[in-house]
Amino acid sequence: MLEHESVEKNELAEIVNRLRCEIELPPALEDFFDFEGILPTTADERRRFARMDLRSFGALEYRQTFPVLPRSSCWHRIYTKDLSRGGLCFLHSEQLFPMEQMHVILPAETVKTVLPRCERMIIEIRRCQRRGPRCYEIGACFISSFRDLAAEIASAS
Amino acid sequence: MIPIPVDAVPASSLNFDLYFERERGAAPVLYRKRWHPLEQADLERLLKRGVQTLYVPSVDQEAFREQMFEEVCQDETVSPERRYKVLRDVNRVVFDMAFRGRESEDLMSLLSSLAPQLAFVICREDLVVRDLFSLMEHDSGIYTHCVNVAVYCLILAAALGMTDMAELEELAMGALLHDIGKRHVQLAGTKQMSGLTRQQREQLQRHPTVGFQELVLRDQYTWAQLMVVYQHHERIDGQGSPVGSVEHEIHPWARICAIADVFHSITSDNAVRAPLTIEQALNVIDQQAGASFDREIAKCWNTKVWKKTSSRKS
Repeated sequence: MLEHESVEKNELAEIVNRLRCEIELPPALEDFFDFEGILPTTADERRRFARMDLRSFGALEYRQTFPVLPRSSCWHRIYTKDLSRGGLCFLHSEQLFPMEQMHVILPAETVKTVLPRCERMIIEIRRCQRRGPRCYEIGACFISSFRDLAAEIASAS
Repeated sequence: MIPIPVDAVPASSLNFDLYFERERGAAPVLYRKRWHPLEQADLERLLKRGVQTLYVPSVDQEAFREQMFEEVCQDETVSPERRYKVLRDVNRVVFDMAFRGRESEDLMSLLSSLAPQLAFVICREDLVVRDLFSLMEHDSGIYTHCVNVAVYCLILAAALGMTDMAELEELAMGALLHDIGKRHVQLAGTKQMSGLTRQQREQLQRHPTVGFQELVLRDQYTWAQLMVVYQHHERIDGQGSPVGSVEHEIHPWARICAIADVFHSITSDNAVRAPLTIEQALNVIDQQAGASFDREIAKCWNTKVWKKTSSRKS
């Protein structure tokens, strides 16, 4: 369904929006979608790239990463929080674990300003914090874009 | 050279060389060649001369640990407390060297033999934790901490009804590994939190995550063991780290390990405060039941485990 190279951007957004969302926003995050803009940096900031608020939706596909944690390949709708050239922060209904690798699709128009060439990425989970019973805030870094992956496969074959 | 207390050495024909210091501080010299019979009278003579420690060459460490386990730890006539003490002493130096090593393979290999041995020695009807406590070391060293936490985990799990030896060995391994993430924290010269740099403090707080990352791609560890490493600083009320998981989201083994970990920490020597007595420490566990700790597991720890008295005749 989401093999989308030829799918138009707005169609992709529609597909993502049709995915069931199981996230339960806790009261503290009720205004989650009200923010937008560039996030301020702090004096002890160690991030390489500026982060931009991205209160929108995305799709996450599980991939089997660890031998002891079975993951079946299926898509989930996620809430994106912020984005930089290096990574993404999002809300999800389940706990994910450090070093797990997954696919993510970010159909929002604003993504183009940060990641002009690709909207489908492979991410690696860095941190996960529980915000509520079905709400986890997850930080992940981009390890490869879909295009990069296609190039890798092409060069290997 | 691996030091070993004279009173831990069995009077037997040993398959490793033994060295001793002829004078205090001098380089160890050969005391007894392997296979040359060693008698109780020899060991007593050494003690009489004031020699408390013998040394085993590092190249013989595997044969040494194996024979010590077979000769002492498997001997039914030896008290469980003494068996525990010998097992602890023979593995200390090898553990410390492996823990400081760049690669984790040596440490994993040592722990995979130590875990079943520890389960064998500890999980016995006749072992009384109060008797063991007086023999246990209570320093803040990483080896003492890992072994004591594993011992407490085994005793608590057995009291909670875990009887399958394979499962107990698996738990022992998880508990021995629980702080493996601290391998990557450079703490030389600092023993208290206030003396740490911000970077060291952050590294220390990340040790469950770092430990999990180090183990998760290996196929020899179970999810339960990995959760002991990742979740042992979680709290039932969600105020723990790294995730803030609550109640049953925390694996039962991690809930067991959380109690063992805190109990050892507060009863051990520490640069910041004096160690608590058993009774004071049990009060802390009781007060934190339902907040930091699983209420049922804490209750079992405070009542079933620590109220048990010896049925053996002295």
